[in-house]
Formats: sequence, structure tokens, C-alpha cells
Amino acid sequence: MKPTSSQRAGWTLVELMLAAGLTGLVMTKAALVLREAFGAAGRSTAAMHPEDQARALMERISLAIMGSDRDTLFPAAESVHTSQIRYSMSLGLEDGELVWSEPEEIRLDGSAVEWRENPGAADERRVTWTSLVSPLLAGEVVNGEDDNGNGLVDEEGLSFELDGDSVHIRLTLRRPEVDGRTVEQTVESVVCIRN
Amino acid sequence: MTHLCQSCSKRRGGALLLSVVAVMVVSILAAGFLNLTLSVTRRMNASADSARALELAEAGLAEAYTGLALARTGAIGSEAAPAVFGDGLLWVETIEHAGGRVELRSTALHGSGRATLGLVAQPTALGVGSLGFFTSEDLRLNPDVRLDSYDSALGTYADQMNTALNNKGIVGSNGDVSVASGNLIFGKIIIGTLGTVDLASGAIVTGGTSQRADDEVLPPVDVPPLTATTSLKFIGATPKIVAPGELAYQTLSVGKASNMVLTGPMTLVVDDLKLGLGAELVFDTTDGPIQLYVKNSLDMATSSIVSTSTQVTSDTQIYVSAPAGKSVNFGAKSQFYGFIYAPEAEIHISAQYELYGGLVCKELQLAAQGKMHYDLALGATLKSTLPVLQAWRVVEMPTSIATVRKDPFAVMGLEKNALLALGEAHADQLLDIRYETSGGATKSYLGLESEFDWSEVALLLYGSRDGLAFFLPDDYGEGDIVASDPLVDLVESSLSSKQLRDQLLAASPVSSDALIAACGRDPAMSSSDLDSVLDANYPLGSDVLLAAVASAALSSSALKDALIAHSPLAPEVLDAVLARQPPLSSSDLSNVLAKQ
Amino acid sequence: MRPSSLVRAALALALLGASTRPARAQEEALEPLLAGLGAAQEVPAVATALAESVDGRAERLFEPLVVRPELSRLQRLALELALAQLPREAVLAPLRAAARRADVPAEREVALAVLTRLGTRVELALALELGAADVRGEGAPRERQKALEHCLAALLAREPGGVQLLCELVPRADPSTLAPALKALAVAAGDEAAARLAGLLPQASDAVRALVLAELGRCATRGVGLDDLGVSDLVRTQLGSADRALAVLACGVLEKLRDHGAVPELIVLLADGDANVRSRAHAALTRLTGLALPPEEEPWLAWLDEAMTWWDTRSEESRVALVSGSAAEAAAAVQELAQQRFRRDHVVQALELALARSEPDVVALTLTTLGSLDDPRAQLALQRFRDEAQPELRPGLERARVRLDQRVAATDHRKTLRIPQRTRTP
Repeated sequence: MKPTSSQRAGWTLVELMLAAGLTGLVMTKAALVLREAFGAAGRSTAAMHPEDQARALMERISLAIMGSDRDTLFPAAESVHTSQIRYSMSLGLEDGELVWSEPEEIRLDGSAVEWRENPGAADERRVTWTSLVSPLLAGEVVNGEDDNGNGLVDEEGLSFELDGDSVHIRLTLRRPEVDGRTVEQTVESVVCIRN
Repeated sequence: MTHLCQSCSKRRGGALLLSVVAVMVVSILAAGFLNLTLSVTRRMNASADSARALELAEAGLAEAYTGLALARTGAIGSEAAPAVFGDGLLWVETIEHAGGRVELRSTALHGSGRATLGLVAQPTALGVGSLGFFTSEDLRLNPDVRLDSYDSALGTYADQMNTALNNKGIVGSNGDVSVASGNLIFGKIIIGTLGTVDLASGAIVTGGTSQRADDEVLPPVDVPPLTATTSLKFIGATPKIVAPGELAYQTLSVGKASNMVLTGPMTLVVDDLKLGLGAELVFDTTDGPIQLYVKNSLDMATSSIVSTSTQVTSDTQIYVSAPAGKSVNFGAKSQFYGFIYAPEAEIHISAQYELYGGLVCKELQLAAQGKMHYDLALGATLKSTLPVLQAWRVVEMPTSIATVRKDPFAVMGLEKNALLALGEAHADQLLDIRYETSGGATKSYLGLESEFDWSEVALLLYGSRDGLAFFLPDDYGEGDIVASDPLVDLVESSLSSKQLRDQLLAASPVSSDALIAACGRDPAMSSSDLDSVLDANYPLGSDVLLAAVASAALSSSALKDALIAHSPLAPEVLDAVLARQPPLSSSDLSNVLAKQ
Repeated sequence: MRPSSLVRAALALALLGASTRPARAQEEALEPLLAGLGAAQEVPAVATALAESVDGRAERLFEPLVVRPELSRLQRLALELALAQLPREAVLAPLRAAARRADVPAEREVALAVLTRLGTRVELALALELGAADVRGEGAPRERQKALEHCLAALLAREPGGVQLLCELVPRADPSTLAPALKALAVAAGDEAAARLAGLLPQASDAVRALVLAELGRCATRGVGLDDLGVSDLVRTQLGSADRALAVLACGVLEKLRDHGAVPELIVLLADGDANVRSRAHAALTRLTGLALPPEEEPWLAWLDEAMTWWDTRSEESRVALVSGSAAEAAAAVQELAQQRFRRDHVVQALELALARSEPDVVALTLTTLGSLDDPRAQLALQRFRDEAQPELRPGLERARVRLDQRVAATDHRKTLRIPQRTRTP
């Protein structure tokens, strides 16, 4: 008796090709899905970093201003914005007397936020807290108008606005990604000067 | 058997492999997303925990700070037994420094968040200004004396005469108080722990009498360390203006018919102060307060004059540290707005020295028909005894707390239910209170506060912790804030006379209050501007006409026109016209009188 | 005695009798008129009758005012109005006589009251004589000083030209009259008061300068003399006075005048030998600039250097940007100007230029900036703009005005009560 086709080992070329094609399709889909997923995760993570950085920087600036002496705040013009602020902080008591820090300054220098101690003096100390600050606050264009509707005109990426005993701090960080995108993150905070 | 092999050989393929691969792919995806979600959640929780820890630390500071105002120590819980608030832990440590300052350190833990904040506060106690008119020895009042009160924060004495505020005077001593016939005491008398009150017939005391629980101990005068090397003895025709600053003289004397003006802000220390016959001493506190310290003797001749440029009683303070036996004689003619403190001296006050403010001394001889008006604004109420906040800062927290970022309850091995809530975790103190229960019974308690049940208290009558009062009876409330006419605010603003005129003309007719304010404005409006405003608001009421007459801003002829337009004048207005200083010119006055 | 002497004596007696009889008769004529005076409406008629009854002899009406303190106010008024109806010279005669006498102090106060009622600027010198002290070298009684002040105020208000005359009289006046004279001058001169007072400084003695500076301070508080460079220059000369108390007073006046031009000199005073001068100069600098720098020269000099460099190098550019630059340039210039603490008057002037721009956002920014300046000139600038303001800018204008009022009020001296604490409680 001649062996039937069902008893033959192996696949036909068509079957192989079909199987290979289907497998390839499935694997391609899977790979695409994985790639999208990783891409989304990557984007999400990329967005988290500037937000984390912005929040951390904002917290740092806020705590410095909260502990400062209102009378030493400079510039002290209310309701106009500025990209630098000078202050002295409370250091508590020493030998029963109130002690205040040396003058400190937080300023925007290009795209960097710099903290300086004793600004302008021979023993000035400087620390750069970040170099990712946008030149202008999000939504703002240098045209003499309040483009982003926050009441300020042409404000920089880091701006301080004094109002009585409160300081409104606005910060926009901007970071270019490897894929050429730019991620921008804006945070705002209103802090009350406690001293 | 062959059948089986044939069956086996028929069942071949990669479906399982594909399934496994598919499941693996999905699992990897799921794991990846789970990881991402966990990461985001952890991040958000950490951020929230950090913010919450900061807020908890602030809450701890606030609780401790308020506790200082209630005579608490400021300490809340401890590292071993912190207070619980929400889902976090906190404790507040206190460090007392020289000069009475207290440093508070509040450490808070919430989830993975940690924060330590610091605050420096200066607790305040009641000032001696709250004693009213007080002597540490027995107080004997001469006949026909008037002692009453007013509140300079709410207006002038004249405005408050015969109102409730006029009836809150405080007269007291650590010993006996004797009130002679004809005395009018609009307020209460507080005698010493063993003192008595002797009320002669015909004396009136509207507020009753009460006894102190403990004698007042008057702190000594803290004289500033200014060294006097010269004396200032002035006699001359032109007034002597003493410039502001810190000054010290051995003798400060103003000679016969001479005038000296002390200009604030000033701290002046003198050994002896003398005012001669007809001399005048002016306390010009327009630009700042004046504190005068007299170390040895103070003598104001009967015909001398003392005056203050403002009616802010806290602006002029006279401290007398003269020892017993030295003459401290306020004999000048004066309407004196200020506070006099002489804990070791016997003070003599003549009937023509009318004092608005407060007086605390060892002994007082107030002449018959003397008048003193206690300024309620001088006495601090417990509402205003919040500690003075001097510094706030973020403190570097201890490494042992900062590095471990796990659930604080687990890390510290504490049971949430076993810890005290924030409001209950204050340091224990000796509590001395008198109170009424819900049944109306009056009770008192002296002991540890932790052993006292506050739910028994329906009405608190008196309370102190470790000897410092946190509740006193008869605290008066603040006056109602009276809504003001916005135009009155406009008059009191910094607009120039012309600008104000334009505004008032545009708003005419304006209220009487606004017109009266315009007439009395300082700086005054120009005569023509004020005249235009009044003109546009005819007819004027009697109160406005009175203000116009009293206003030095209006010229004689402008006022004449207004008065003629409203003639015949009401008797009180005519009276004011005739008494006006500077007076109307003779022709203007004749014209006005002719129209009556 | 010779017959002629007897006759002369008899004639003299007769004349005396004749003069006294009518005098007595005139006194008796006055009495019923005064006694019958009931209501204020009768005063003019009684005054006329009194004037007619004395036959032109003013001293008959003046004397009761002096010697009869029991007269009621209406009676005194009638006598004064009667005097006003007599010939002027006749009325002035008894007043001049009172000025020459010192034995009846009340006479001078009465004379001042009469002069207040009917005097003119021609009688300013007489008023100053009447207001002088009885004893040279002493002060005048308080009531007399008050009476003099009222009299001078009335005379100055009655007709123009009195202020200039008083300024000429003050340097020669009795020292005891200077205080009321300066007060009356400060009120009567109105907007010129600061200039008039400052003009007295160069020739005055130290004691008088102190009085003038005190009065100038009061004027400056009322806003008078704020932009008068002449006043500021004259006050600044007192900063170098040998009497350091005058320097202290001058610091206070310059602060109230908001004289930013005095800042360099005030900084120099931070190194003065007198502690009160240093302290007052520092207080003035702090209030003028709003800076919380320590009371030492160096930090202030460093700030001044920076500020002056800006004015020298950037101010013109800012001004051009405000007027003709783009909106962005104008906004940036407004921001820059807002930071300047020196020469606030120039800042306000410059910002006013920006109010004329057409861009609403720039104008709104300028209004906000003006509102944040602690200077009364900014208030004036806002007022001037008010009439031209477009409707959408009016809320911003109002906010700026309110904020400025609050800031100007907030610079008032905070008066704190530092009274010893009670150590025990009731």
C-alpha cells in the first residue's frame, strides 16, 4: 500500500509559508505594541523628570523665601515682576540673640537659576540649581503684552512677584529630549514670608 | 500500537509555542505598566508626604505658639511619645533663652515625608498699663475727685462721656482704698488681698469692688544706660526745641515763662526735672513716642504747663525711679495724655493736672477735684497677648530621622491609638482655675492639668497655668467697627485740596459726615475749596455749620456768607460763631448778627 | 500863693471837673447800654449806640474791656464792634499805648483781641509788639501767644500782601513772638509756606532755626514744599550745622520733603560723631529709599554707586523706550524703573510718559507700578491721568490709588507700647 499524505512527515511549502507569515505578523504586531508601550513609558518618564525637577527647585526656592526677613527682601517693588530676589534668612537664636544669614540671592542668569551668598562681595559663593529654565514663562512672548493672561507682561522663565507679605513664584523648565522633542514644565507657588 | 503512533504523529505543531510567546509578551507589557504605575504612585506619595510633613510641622508650631498665649510652655509631646495628628506624628521642643525668648522646634513625620521647622517667640504678659490707676500702698482719694475711663482707640474722651466706655475705670491698690465724699468713680475698685474699702457718704462707685487673689508686684523701672554729663537749664524767650534721639541730662529745667519742646521719637533720662513758674513743657509726639525717665526728683510749679501734641496715650510715657522720700510733684496745668509709672515713689497730682491714660505708683496724693481718665487702650486684654513672633525658619532635622523614610509608626514602634492627639499633648502644668459648672455651682481647682476634667467647666471665671494667667474676668470686647462713608475715607486720603474739592463736587450732595470731615481735615483744605464744597451742599445742617465755624480753614468772609445764607442761626451755632477763634472780622460779624 | 496861681489851679480843677464829669457821665451812659444787652441780635444796635456815646474817644470803650473781666461775651462783642465804628487812628491809639506798657498784662491780650477783629496787615508790627513778653528774655504767657497767633492769622487772611510783610518783620521781632508768628506764617502762606520759612534760615540764630525747621517739618507733612529745590537746598545747609541738634531736625525735614537729592549727604552723616545724628540719618535713608541696609556708610555707598550708574547710563534709554520704543521695550523700561530707589521723583516723571502709550497692558503695568511707589507724587500722577483714563483701565487706576493711599498711610510712625510687664496676676 502506498503511504497517504497524512502519514507524510513535514509541511508543505505553502503551509510553511503561511505559518511563517502568520508568525511574522504576530511577532511584528507584538514588537510594535512593545515599542509603543516603551515609547509611551519613556515619554511619561521624560515628562516626570522636568516636573520633579521643577517641583524640587520650587520647593527649594519657596523654603528660602518663607524663612526670609520681609524687610531685607530686594527688590521690594510690589506687583511688578523680577527674575531675581535678594534676602536674608533667619538662623534662629545664638546666645539669646536673633541671628540672620548673610545676604543671599536667587537669580536667573541666562537659563540657569543661581543661588549666591554675599552677592557682589569678595567672598561670594555661587551654586547653580538648574540650567533648564526657559527664557520666558510658558505662553509668553516678548511683545509688551500679557500673552498668558497672568497679569504680568513679558515675564522671564523664573519670576517673582511681591504682594504684601506674599511672593508669587513662577517657573518654567524646558528640556530637549534625545528624539528632538522639547518638554516644558511650569510650576507656580505663592509663599508667605514668615519673618 | 501503530494506531497510537499514527495518532501521535498527527498531533504536531507550534501553537503552544506561539501561545507561550504571546503570554510572555503580554506579561512583559503588564509588568512594565505596573512598574510605571508604581513608580508614579511612589513619586506622588513621596511628594504628598513631604508636603504633609511640612504642614504637620506648621500645625505643631501653631499649636505650641497658641499654647504660649494660654500660659502653656509650648512643649508638645516628645520624640519618645509624640502627638498624633491625621496620619502623622509630631512633637515640639522648647528652648528658653535669656530675655524671655522661647525657641520652638517642631518635627513632623508623615509617610516618607520629614520636616523640622523652628520659631522664635517672645511671650507677652499683661502690661502694668492694665492696672488702671493703681498704688501699691493704701489709696486715699481726696474729696470731689472724678476717675473714669474712655478708649482712645475708639474716639476722644469728650465723645465717650456718659457712655458705657466711660464707665470702665479701674482704681486699685494692694491695700485699702478709701473713697471720700463727692468722689465719682465710674468703674470698679480692686483692693488688696487683705484690703478694705471705705466709702464715705456721697461717694459714687458704679462698678462695685473686688479683692485681688494675690498682691501685684510692680517691676522696677528699667532705666536705659545713658550717661548724663551735663544739665540743660533753659530760660529764654524763644521756645527751645530738643531734637529727637537718646539724651541724658543731670538736670533738665525750664525756667520762668520759658517753653521747651521735646520732639519724639526720644528717650530722655534725667536725674531731676523742674518746671518753673509759667514754664511750659511740650511733648511733641507727632513723629514718634517719648519716654522720659526721671531718676531723682520731678517738680512742676503750680503755674507751669505740660502738654502733649497728640492724644495717643501710649506715646508719652513718664517713668519715675525716684527713691522714697523724693518729691514727685505733677503740679502743672495740663491735659496730659500719657502713662506715668513710679513704682517706688509718692506722686502728688494737682487738681489742674488732668491725666488721660494711666498711673501706677507706690502712693498717690490726688488733690481734691482732681480728674483722671483711664485709657482702656492702654490695658492689654488677653486677646492681644499672643507672643510676639520674631523668627521662623526651616531647621535641619536630625540624621536619624531624616534618613529612614518608612512609615513612622512602624519605624518608631508606636501604636497610633496609644498616642495623644495634638491638642492634648501639651506639657503638663500646674492649673489654678475658678469656674462654674453646668449646674451653676462655682468651683475651683488647683493641681496638675492632666488630672483635671475640662468637660466640667461651663463658664471659666479665672485661669492660670504655673502662676501665669490665661483668663481674667471682665475682659472687655473690642468695639464694633463702624462702617464709614467712603467719601469720609476720601477726605482722609492724601488727595490735595483741589483734587478733594473736585471729587466732592462731583459727588454732591454729600453726607454731613463727609462735610464735617472736610471741615476738620488735617491737612486743612484751602478756604476757597472748602467754601466751594459747602456751597454746593446747601442747605447745611447745624452739625455741619458747627464744624464750619470750628474750622480754621474757612476765611472770615467765606464763613460769613455761609452763615448769612443759613440765618437765622440755631442758638448753638450762633454761640459757636461768637466764641470762634480766630474770630470773624467786625464787619463780617456785624453782617451776620444783623441777619439774626 | 499868688492870685494867678490860684486862678490857674481853679481853672485846672474846673477843667478836670469838666473832663471827668463828661467822662463819668459817659461811663454812666455806657452802663445802661451794656446792661440792657440781652440777645445777640441786639449787638449791632448797641454797638452803634456805644460808638456814638463816646464821642470818638476809643479808650472809653477799650478800658472796660481791660478792667471789667466780668463782662459777658455779648457785652465784649458790642464794645469791640463799637470800636470798629470809630476812626481808625482813634482806635489804634490805646492799642499802641498798651504795647508800650507792661504793667497790665491783660491789656495786651485785650488789645490783640481788638486788633484781631479789625486790624489789617498794616498793623502786623503792632500785633507783634503786643504779643511780646512782659520781661525781655522771658517767654510770653501762653494765652498771649495764642492770642497773637489768632491775631496774626486774622490779619494775614484779611488782605493780600501780609505774608511778605510778616516775613520782613520776623527777623526783627521780639524772640518771644517768633513761635506764634511762624505758625501763623505757615498757615497763611499756603503753598508758599515752605519757601517762606526756609528763607528765614540763613539769617536766623540757632534757636530760631530750630523753630523754623520744626515748622517746616509740619509743612512737609502737609505736602507743602515737596518739589521746591530751594527749600531743600536751604534745609540741607543745616546738616553741617555746628549745633548737631539742628542736623537731627534737618534730617527729619528732608525725609518728610522726600528729598532724594539729600541722600548722598545723609549717607555721609552715617559716620557722624553724634550718635543721634547717625541714627536719624539712617532712619531718613531707610524711609526715603525703603532699603533695609545697616547703619554703615559702605553698603549705602555701594548701593548709591549702583543707583547713580543706572541713572547715568540707562535712564535716558529707558525714557526713550517709554516714549517711542516698542511695547516690549516700554514694558521692560517700566519694570526697570520700578526697581529704582533713588530719585523717586524722576521715576514718577518718567512713568507718567508711559501712561500716554496706546497699549493697554503697558498702561496697566505703569498704573500698578505707580501704585506700588511710596511717594505722594505718584498719587498726583494718578490723579492727572484719571480724566484721560479709558474705561477698561479705571479699575486698575482705582486699585493703584487705594494701594498708594495704604502705603503712604503705612509709613506713619508705628507707636508701640513698651510698658513693664506685670509679674503677678490677680
